[in-house]
Amino acid sequence: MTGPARPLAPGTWVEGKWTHRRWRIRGVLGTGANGIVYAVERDDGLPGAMKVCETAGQVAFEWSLLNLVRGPGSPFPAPQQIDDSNRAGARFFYVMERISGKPLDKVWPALAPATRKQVMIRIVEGLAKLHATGHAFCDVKPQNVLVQEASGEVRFVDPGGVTPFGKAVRQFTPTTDGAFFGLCDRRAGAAYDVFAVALMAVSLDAPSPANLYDLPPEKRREWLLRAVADQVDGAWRPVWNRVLRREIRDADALRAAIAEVRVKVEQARAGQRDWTAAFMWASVASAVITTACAWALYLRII
Amino acid sequence: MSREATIRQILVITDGCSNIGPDPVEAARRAHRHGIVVNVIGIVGRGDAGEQGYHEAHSIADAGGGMCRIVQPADISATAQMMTHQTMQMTLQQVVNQELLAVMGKSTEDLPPAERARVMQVVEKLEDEVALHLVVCLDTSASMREKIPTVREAVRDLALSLKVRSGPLAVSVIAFPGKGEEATRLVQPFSSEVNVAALEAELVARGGTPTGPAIDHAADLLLSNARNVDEDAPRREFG
Ligand SMILES: Nc1ncnc2c1ncn2[C@@H]1O[C@H](COP(=O)(O)OP(=O)(O)OP(=O)(O)O)[C@@H](O)[C@H]1O
Ligand SMILES: [Mg+2]
Repeated sequence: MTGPARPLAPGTWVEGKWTHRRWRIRGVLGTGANGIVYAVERDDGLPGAMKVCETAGQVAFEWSLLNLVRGPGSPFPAPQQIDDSNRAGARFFYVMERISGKPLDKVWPALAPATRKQVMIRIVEGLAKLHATGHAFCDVKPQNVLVQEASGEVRFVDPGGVTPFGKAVRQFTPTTDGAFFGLCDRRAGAAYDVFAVALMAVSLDAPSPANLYDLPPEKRREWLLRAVADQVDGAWRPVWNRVLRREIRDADALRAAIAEVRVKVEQARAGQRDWTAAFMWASVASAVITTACAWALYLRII
Repeated sequence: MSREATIRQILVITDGCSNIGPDPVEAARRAHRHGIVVNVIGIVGRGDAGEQGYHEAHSIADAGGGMCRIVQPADISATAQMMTHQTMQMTLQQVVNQELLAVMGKSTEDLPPAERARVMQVVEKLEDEVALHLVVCLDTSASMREKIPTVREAVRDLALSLKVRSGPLAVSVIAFPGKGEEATRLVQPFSSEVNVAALEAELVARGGTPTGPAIDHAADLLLSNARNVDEDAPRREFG
């Protein structure tokens, strides 16, 4: 099997063989282990996200998962169409709702404590809804959680990991995998996702050391407990410790525990904004000075 | 159908070029002729393996009907699991395709996309239930010294993924080069779990890189295991 070729250029039209609809490529939204996702616009102007995978089977399989988790208020993108085309680079694809917002790891540093709490609660509510259908996400990680900065609304992307409770997890990311830390089996279940939320939260505050991968699971867990004690926001520490002690094992219990978190009132935030503004003015000023100097040099004033 | 079926795979984890014994690409081709899939994980070194190492890794996987990925040491375990999963799926997909062709005169790709999903659900169920026989071949040549702890943990981790499937699992691990003059060494015979103590004791970096002999050794293990099992019951082989 060969690796992915160059992505399709913006402006390219992709014509579906089965539906005879056409989509125009707008740009790349992201790439992953299973394929590439494009921003597209259908011939009637409907915006969408087109996921292209290497095999017809992979596309069909993800499509079936997307349909499994669809419904009003679903955290996942709504499915639009599945089709094939003759265009190299988009032989097999499906199109889904385009989710706006940025990955959690990108927005996290700038989120106020109260917004962080809102976001975490919404993530867990999204999982609760999914768990009610007897499926686990199994791929909770910052890149798969898109957050709208203005509203704090949370959506999930990448249904590829969705698995019925009790079955083996299909693919995992070590930093958000409970089994990697010796906390649980690598088996789909509410607890697997709950561990992943805790691990994701820790990873947002405490980057994992490079040697984590050389250590056996028990030693990795020791690192984790230390990271929670030393690097994680104190208000959240009790919640994550309870998850790691296996006292919280489903989404409802986790939601209740997060609701108890007492976040700091906006204060540090105002300071931060001042600093940002000052920085912005400083850069504008320095840009002006640089430009002035360039002109001065050019005109041989100095 | 799934209960009597077995998938056989070899996973080679290496950081460079073979330099001892027969051509690993030919060894992979031989294995694949016997219905074995050969996957390769190439570990990114400090430029030592270079072009030639990458080229060899890809050629082995192509000849072995498997996949190849070049990754950082930290990504070995997730990659190993992803490849095992995807190539099992590929093998089963081929089987299902043959059946569709026989029954309906159509392959999966001839079906309307929405109907393919049903085929894939069958494939998914088979993947969970089928027996998997896997031989992991670990490069323990001198250049691997610093990566051995990561590789050891990655193999332990792969076993965590595979043991939660419903289907039976048999994993064997061999290291190359072996002790003294031997090209390869059996770290653990087929077993339903990875013996971490054996991995810890046996993985010592030294010497050259006999990748070809390692693939041949792995294929022998898989084929003799198949013969042993064959004596118990009539089986259906994939590939
Ligand atoms: N519906 C969507 N709307 C907007 N962006 C999306 C959408 N789907 C995917 N993306 C973006 O594309 C990226 C890759 O998509 P996705 O996670 O589905 O690919 P993948 O190959 O399954 O990746 P992974 O390696 O995580 O398994 C996502 O991280 C996200 O940023
Ligand atoms: Mg993803």
